[in-house]
Amino acid sequence: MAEEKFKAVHYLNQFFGQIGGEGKANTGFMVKEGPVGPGLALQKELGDRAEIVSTVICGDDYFAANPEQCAEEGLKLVKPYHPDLFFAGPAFAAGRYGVACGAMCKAVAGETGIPVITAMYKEAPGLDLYRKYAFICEAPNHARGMNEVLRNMARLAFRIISGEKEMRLLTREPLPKPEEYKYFSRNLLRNEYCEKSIAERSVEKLLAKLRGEPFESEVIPPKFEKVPPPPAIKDLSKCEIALVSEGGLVPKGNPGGLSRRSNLRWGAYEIAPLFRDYEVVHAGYFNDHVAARPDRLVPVDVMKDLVKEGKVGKLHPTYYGTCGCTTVSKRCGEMGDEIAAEMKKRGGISAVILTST
Amino acid sequence: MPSIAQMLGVNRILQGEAVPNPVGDPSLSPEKEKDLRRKYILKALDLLQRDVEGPTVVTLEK
Repeated sequence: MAEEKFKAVHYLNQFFGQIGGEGKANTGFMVKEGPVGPGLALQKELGDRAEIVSTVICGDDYFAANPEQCAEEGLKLVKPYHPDLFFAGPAFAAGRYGVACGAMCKAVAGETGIPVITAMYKEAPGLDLYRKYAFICEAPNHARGMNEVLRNMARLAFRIISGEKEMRLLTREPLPKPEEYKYFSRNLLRNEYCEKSIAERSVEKLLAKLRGEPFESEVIPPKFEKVPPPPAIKDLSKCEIALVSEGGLVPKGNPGGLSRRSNLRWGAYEIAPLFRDYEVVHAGYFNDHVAARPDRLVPVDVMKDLVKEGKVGKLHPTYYGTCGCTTVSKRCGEMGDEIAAEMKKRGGISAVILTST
Repeated sequence: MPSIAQMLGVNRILQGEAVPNPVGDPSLSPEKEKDLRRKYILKALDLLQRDVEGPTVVTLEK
C-alpha cells in the first residue's frame, strides 16, 4: 500500500519568495502554488514523502509592522490547504524575517496543531521570542548553509510526524532531543526517565563545575535585560515621590482581587483611606508586622514628615501595590510597565520608592 | 533580598531591614522604629539623587 504523501505549506519573505529585495519589503501577502526559491531545495529533501503544495510570501516590513495581526492574516492563507506540515524560512540571522517565521509558526501551530518548523541563527531575535512555539533548527548567520539547514528541517519534520513516541519522556510526546536533531531547545519543561537519581546527577554536575569540567544544565534560567539607570533627581524639595510595593498591602476586602500567591494583578490605592482600613494579602512572608503598622512596608509616616519639613516636594497621593509571591518575573515586568504607564499618565512623579519583602 | 533585584537589573537597591518589615523593626519602640524608618528613607532618597552605572546595592549604616 502506498504511503500517503504529507502536504506542506512553506512561508518565505519577499526576497526568498522571488518578489524583490528591500524595495519590496512592504509587499503584503501572496500565495504561489507549489515550492518557490529555497522551497525547491526543501522539496528535494522531502522527497516523495511530502509535497509543498503552496508557498505563502510576505514582505518583511509589512509583517514587522504588526506581527500578530499579520500572522493571523497569513494563517488564513495557510488553512485552506489543510497541510500536515508547515515550514518557514530559514531566516538565518534576519531580524524581521525571523520574527515573521516564528510568528507564522506560532499561529499555524496554535490553530492546527501540526508540526511547525523554521530555522534561525542562534542570535536571531526571533529565537527567544518563538522557541516555545515552534521547532527552530540551527542555522548559520549566512545563507550559504541553506541546503544543510533544509535537510535538517526535513529530517526533523519526518521524525515529529512519524508518530514515533519519545520513550525517554513521561509524556511520550513528539519532542526529540534537540542535540540529535540540531534544533534549539524549546525551553519546555518535561519529565524524563533517567538512570541516575537527581541527587546523583546534581552532585556530579556540581563537582564538574567546580573542577572546571564541562557539564550540561538541565534547566536554564532566563536571561534578564539590562535597564539603563535613569539619571539622578536634581532638587528633591521640588520632587513628587510615589510609593510602590509588592508586599500585598490592599484596602480591606481586597477589592482588586489580588491573589496571595502567583498573583497577576496590581492596584492603585489612595493612601489616606487605605491606611484607615486595610489588610495584607501575601503568602510569602509573615504578614503580622505590616498588618500592625503598614508604614513598615509603605513608609507613609516618614514621607509625610519629610514633605512637612520641606525636604521632599510632595508625596504622590496614590500608592501602587501588588503581591509578589511566586509571581512569574515576566508578569512582574509587565506590571511594572503598566504601573509606570499609569504614573506617566498622571504626570508629575519624579521618582519611586518600591519596597519589597 | 538585594541579590535577586541585582540579577533582575534593578539599578538602585537599598537593603531593607528584614523580609516581614522592610522599613521597620517591631522589636523597637514606636519612636525608635520611626527613627530607623526615617534613616532608611533618607538613604533611599540619597540613592535617587546619585547617578549610578548599573545595579548598585547600598546598605544602611546603623
